[in-house]
Amino acid sequence: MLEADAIKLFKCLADKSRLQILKSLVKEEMYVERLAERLDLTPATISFHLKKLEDAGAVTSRKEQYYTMYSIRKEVFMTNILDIIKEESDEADEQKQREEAYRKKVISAFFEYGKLKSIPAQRKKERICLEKIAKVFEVGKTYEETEVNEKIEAFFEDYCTIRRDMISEGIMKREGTKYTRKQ
Amino acid sequence: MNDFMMYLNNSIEAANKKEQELIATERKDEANLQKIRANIYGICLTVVQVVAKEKCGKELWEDYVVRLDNIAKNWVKSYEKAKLHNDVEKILIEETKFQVLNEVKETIRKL
Repeated sequence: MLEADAIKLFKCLADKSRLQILKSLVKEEMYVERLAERLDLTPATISFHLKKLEDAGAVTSRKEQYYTMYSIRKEVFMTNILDIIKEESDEADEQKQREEAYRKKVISAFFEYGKLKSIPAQRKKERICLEKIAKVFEVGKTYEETEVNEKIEAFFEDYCTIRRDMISEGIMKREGTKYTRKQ
Repeated sequence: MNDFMMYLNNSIEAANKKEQELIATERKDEANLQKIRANIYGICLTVVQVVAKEKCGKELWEDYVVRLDNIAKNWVKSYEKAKLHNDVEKILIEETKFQVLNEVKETIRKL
């Protein structure tokens, strides 16, 4: 288990309600309403905790007719804590993880449900947002300006600013009215 | 009016107390929901104090409910968006806010 995954899991487990949910799930798989009744919490609260547990890799879900059944991922809990502690972490890997965590933080702050809320004032943050938007363009493929505008508009109304900033940041290349995404 | 203010102040106090209890039992996320509840009661208290300076009697309560509903308009948008994207955390937060608001409106109705 990666250090980052272990931290996420331990943080998630440091909550009494989530531990109670796992205690129920270790006996048998269950759906939200049943867990809610059992633990005397609202279904919305249970869903919230289950989402956190699922994100941390502690539980998994499957659809069964009208219900979503949740079960514990036993293999995750079979991991020896000593093995996690002993695991050597590479400095380059850690740096990469820190950068990725920063990217995620910026993206979650500036994007809401896939739309850019505002253009960050800080250049570093703006570049991260521009790179995320640029992913809709295939590397090496040529796009007409109207096509570029349409694709950017799906993220942000002011597509002109975004398009221009992508060029000045070297994320996209313009030749006349043709645009290509750089590597 | 005094009874209503007392009800709001007691509700804030109760939510704060519950928040501390939940923190003490390692339920930080649920404690945060109590903090949200306390904040909403706080907003209701501020709004009623503002309206009370301008109106009185039946008019006060009518205007108060209109103002509360106006505040909740943004929550409705946010809730609908969250539902559309199955954002369970946001859904829970918005539902908590609606619960408090409905409880406050129900209390006014009983006055």
